[in-house]
Amino acid sequence: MMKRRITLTLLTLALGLASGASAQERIDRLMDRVSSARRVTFTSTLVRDPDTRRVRSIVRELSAPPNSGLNDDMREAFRQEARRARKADAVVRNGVFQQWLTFESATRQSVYRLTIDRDRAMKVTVVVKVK
Amino acid sequence: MTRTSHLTPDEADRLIRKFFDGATSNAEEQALYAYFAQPRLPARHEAERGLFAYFAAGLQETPARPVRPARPRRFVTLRRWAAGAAAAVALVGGGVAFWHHERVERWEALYAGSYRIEDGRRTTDVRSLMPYIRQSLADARQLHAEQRLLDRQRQERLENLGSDMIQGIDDPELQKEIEEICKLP
Repeated sequence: MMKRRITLTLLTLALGLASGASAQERIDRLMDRVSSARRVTFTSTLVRDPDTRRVRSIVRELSAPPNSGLNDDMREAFRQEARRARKADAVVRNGVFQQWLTFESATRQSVYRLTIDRDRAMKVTVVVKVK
Repeated sequence: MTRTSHLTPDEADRLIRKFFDGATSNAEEQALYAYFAQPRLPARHEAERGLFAYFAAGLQETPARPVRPARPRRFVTLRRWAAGAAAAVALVGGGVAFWHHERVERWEALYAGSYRIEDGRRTTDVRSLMPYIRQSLADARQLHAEQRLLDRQRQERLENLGSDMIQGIDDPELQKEIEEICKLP
């Protein structure tokens, strides 16, 4: 019984760590998956150093019209990743929902923003700054 | 051409003095020209034959409308102006084309690898992406501004929380510790 409890605890921890390691990619993977969907617009902008061509920052934006069926999935992805974020904020103002998440690592800083407006149109903006 | 003159040498002397005074009439001048056109003149008038021949020839060669010689000058000026204007237009056009080429090359150096997918259709040409790139960069600047505002609000809330908590605590060391915690970002 004790052995089983320890095994389950260790398994839960392992799963938790694994999901934590990929938690930041949940939003990115969802964006990539729906970027080619009908009526969805996706823009990826790479800003480079003009002399070295090294990437300095990346701006990714996903826009979906009302009734795209993507709002709930995206809100869930943001909710899950908020637990791992360095900073998390959310506000509802004049019927507009906005949520911000900030992640930081040794090599980059990433800021995510989810906006769902009164008409239920959705926009996700991601800014990745390479250190 | 030999003209028939009715002037005598003395009458010619009188008209010559009047001519140089600027007081002769056209008929009197014509009479003088005819006098000096004769093949034989008195010695005192022979010296002035050439002078009056000049006056007689100048009056006859002066065109009725002096516009004709000016017309070629104006045409040449117009051609020169048109050539100058064409050269200026070519120079400006060439400059604009060069500037545009340089601008496109700079865009491609800055944003190579960017793309857009709209309704399943993918675009990778940087030139046609520029309006969307500009919009994305403007959104990124706005996002950073929002982040700074949220950080400030978060810090204010933390400081207010710390003040509220300290009010109920008498221990100065604990108060200081709470203050330190609330200062952390």
